[in-house]
Amino acid sequence: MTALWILIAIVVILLLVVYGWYMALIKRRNQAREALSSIDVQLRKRADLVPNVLKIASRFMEHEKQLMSELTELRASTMKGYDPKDPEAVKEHLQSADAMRGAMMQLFAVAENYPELKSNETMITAQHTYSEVEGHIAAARRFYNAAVTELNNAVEIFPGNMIAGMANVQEMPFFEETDEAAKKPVDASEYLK
Amino acid sequence: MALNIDETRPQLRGFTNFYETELRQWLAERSGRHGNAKIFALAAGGIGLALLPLWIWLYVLADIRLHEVSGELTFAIPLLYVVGVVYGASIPLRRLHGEVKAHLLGRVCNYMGLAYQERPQNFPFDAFMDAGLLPSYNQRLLEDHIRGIHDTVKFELAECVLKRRQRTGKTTTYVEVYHGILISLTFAKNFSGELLVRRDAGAIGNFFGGLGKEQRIRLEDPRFEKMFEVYGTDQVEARYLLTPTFMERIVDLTALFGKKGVELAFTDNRLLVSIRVTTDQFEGGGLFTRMTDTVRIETLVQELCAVFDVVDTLQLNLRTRA
Repeated sequence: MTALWILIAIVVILLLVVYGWYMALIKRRNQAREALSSIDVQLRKRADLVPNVLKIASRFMEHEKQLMSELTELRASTMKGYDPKDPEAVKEHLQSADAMRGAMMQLFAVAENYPELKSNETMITAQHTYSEVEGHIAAARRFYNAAVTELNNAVEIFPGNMIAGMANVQEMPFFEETDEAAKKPVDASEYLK
Repeated sequence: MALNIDETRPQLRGFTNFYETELRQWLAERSGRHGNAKIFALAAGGIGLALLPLWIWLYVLADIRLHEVSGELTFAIPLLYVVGVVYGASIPLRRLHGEVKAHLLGRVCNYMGLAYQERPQNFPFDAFMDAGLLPSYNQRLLEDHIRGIHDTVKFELAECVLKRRQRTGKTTTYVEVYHGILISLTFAKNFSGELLVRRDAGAIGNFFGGLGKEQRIRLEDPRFEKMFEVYGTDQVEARYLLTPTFMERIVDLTALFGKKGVELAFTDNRLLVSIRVTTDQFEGGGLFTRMTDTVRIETLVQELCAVFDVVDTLQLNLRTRA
């Protein structure tokens, strides 16, 4: 009889542990999704800013039509709807957001070659606002990546992986900054002349 | 003794010359009065305290008590007598000290491009209280309101002492619960929420300290996380304000002020900083410090420069994204 009670107690404890683990997993997944939506809020702000920047830039940068149309396409792709429950779709969405950032940086870099545009009041204000929005995106990225780290650790580590499998909780992709320019080796000889 | 001032600071260029021509003479002129006040304090205090045994003998040992005075008060009376003697004997000294303090602070602040008011007017004390940087209190002393601009950053500060009432039986005492410098600074970034950066108080302290606060924000800098607890209204905005670089600067600031305890809050587009201190600030020397002792000025300048150190260490004139 005692053995039976011990067995029941073990099973109950096990069930409680599994439930606790499951609860923690769901909490982490929801936090990662909340962080993802906070990225989207900031991306929306950036997307709202792009048409204004392009409008000003198009007046001065007639030779950069390709870059501008690329930006318009990237904006559309970033704002395209996606399924936040599908890690692949999230990954694609974040990659397109990152590509958009790269293109915007390129636009501002090219704008340096147009003194009139560079000194244009509206452009200066737009650049200032853009920089603020980028600051918020960077902050949202840190929040998201921290939430994803917690989620992925919980999903990958035993017995979390088993419970996650049963509950269909999946790992989520990190929002990584793939700045090609930053990865290029720096030629210091130019600065040491 | 020669004045030891760091004249590499832009606000202090030519300060030694200013001291020699404007302050030293003024202080020297008060040396005689200071000496007399010290002699009076020692003489009056000495005589008064010498009479204490006689007083005790009369009221306690000879059992000559006033019938209406309770037993507890009988013991309190000698104590009050001592306090009264010390207070009375030091009146001329304290009066001179107040005069010297007001003059030195006024002149030195003026030289450094700062505005000084002994009694604060419109100091945003409530903002510090609302932000959760200060404990609850029953008595408040706010003095030495200093305002200025450093590297485009506007600031104002004041020294603050808070005391809480404590009742033990029939006696009421006031215990100091906070003594520090409160600094309010303009901040280069726009934000709408609130953020509080408090010193880590250990697991139990953090648990009770966090009750009723906004959500706890965990940040990725392990050094920062070990030293501070962050509470805020918005996870993203918290990270927008506390960038990795800014967190490093806060850690550096803590190193600068040692164990005094630095705490911060972001509210209404301002950065509020609280620095706990153990001694009175902006006093311009102690009661018995020799009038022309350079320590008076050196300490005062060092205390005033703390606010520049805050601005410089946190690089508040810059907008950091990283």
